[in-house]
Amino acid sequence: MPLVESRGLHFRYPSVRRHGAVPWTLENLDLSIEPGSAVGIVGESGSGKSTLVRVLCGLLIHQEGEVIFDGRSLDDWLSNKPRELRKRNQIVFQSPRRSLDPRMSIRRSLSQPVRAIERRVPTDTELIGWLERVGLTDEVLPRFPHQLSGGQLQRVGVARALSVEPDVLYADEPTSALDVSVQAQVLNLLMNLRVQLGLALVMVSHDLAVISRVAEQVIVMKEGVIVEAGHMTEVLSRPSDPYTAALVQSARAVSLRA
Amino acid sequence: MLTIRDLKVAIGRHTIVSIERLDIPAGTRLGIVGESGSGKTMTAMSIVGLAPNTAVVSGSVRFNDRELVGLNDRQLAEVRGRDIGVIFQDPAKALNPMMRIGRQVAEAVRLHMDLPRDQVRERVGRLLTRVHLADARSLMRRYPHQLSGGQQQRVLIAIAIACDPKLLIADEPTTALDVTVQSGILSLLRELSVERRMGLLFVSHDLGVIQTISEVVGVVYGGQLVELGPVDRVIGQGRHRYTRALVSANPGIADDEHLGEVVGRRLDVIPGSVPALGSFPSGCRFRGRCSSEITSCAQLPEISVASDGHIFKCWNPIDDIAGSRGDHRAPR
Repeated sequence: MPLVESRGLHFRYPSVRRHGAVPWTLENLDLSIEPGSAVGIVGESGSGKSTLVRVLCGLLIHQEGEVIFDGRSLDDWLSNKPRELRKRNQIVFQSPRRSLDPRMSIRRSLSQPVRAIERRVPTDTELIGWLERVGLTDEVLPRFPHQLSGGQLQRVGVARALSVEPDVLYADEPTSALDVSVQAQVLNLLMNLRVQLGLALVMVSHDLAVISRVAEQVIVMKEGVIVEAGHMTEVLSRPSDPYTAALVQSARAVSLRA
Repeated sequence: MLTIRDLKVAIGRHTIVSIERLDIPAGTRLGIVGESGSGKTMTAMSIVGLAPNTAVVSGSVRFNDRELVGLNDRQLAEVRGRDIGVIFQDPAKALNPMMRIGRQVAEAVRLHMDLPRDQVRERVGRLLTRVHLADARSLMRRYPHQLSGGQQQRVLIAIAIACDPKLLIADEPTTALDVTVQSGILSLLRELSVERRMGLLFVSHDLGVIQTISEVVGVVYGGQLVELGPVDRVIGQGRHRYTRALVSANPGIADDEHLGEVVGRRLDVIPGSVPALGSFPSGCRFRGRCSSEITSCAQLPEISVASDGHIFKCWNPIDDIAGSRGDHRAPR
């Protein structure tokens, strides 16, 4: 049984209104994500990939269709067990600098999910364990975001998301704000943790090269619609949609050939 | 045509760029690749006097026998636009949002050439057509926000080439663009460079883009040029440890038949992160992150010549034999 499933999903931002017509941001999306799988969502800016992951994990509420998480609809989760939904769905954002409160020490930021979801304060042993899992030490606990590098902050973001032991980790462009040399560290970390913890990893990226290394399944989006989805190897080598073909071709044209 | 000797850019007591020698022969497409804080943008901008006011630029940058370092603003403005064109990363910020496209391109033409009005207009139309913008006449009447990012960047290229510069400096011109638009801009720049024998100094953090556009590539780290040479040699058989590590850390897209094999395979990493300004180690800047450090690395490395036009600065370089390549992509 898929862990996350959507049928006929529609979403629009409330304020978007042009000449009376209200365009859908996401239109009629069907998808399914298996437990423990690695799914990549690719598309250009404005294609709705970030919006999609926010809808799937319940941060934005869709208007039509349904999202099913572990056999129950998202509406049901949100009205009856919102905290359990949050616990099992976590997200890492693009800019680690903007997703951590600059006035909070790393210790406090890192404690927030457990405080909010499990209503308790995590022990030092737990905090250190989470940091070690992402290759950091307790040295960072008393520090503030501005004292850490981008790569370190993104590790904190990953540690924070994993502190509540989710089933799905959504990663929205987790490495696009990082240098290439640091990007490889964070991608390896995500791949390792996925295997260790049996997580489903859903990664959004505009970079097909990154997705081609991380994801077994790929979803290609354009203007709020899924134009193609399937096994990454098949989609890349035999794209059935002309847009996917153009995307793969352009990405290949500028990808490094060593 | 452009020769750089002992170029140093300092902000306060920190020297952020220090380049002994770098030449761009006429019509050559040179790529500068580096991570954030490597000084790649500062290098490009200091050539045309666009480094921030707080930066002190010393050394020599000669363009066709004219010294550019030390020119006053008026002299520099004359060089920029007429001899050297510049395009930037964010086209939306480089265009005036209040001014129609046609007027912005015309301004560049008029600034350096004394032409009657109808000829200016005709030239603007030709320039817009040259950068492959369809329907130039209606485009001239539009404002920047009515154009897509790719169209805006094409307009900026039109402005930059308005007076037939001999060198175009492009600072991450495709970073803000989608990948399908990016390849169009890159082929346009290549076309223009070949057709007009226009040199290109292309700055990017993206090795794949640099490989696509350049003939010669310079790798910068910590404000220093650590390797320079023909693009295929530097990327395929780089001698400097940093160059090779950077290539290995880059996820490329494998060939169709190898796609399945590389999924989930870990990338080669470079430990640590790029130090903050002023906290680079002495000697080789890559010290501390390099896996092949030797005692000499505490000294500033000298320039070694690998082959004709291929130089590097490393005390313990990778052997010239291709066998030691850290290739993670194509299993053999």
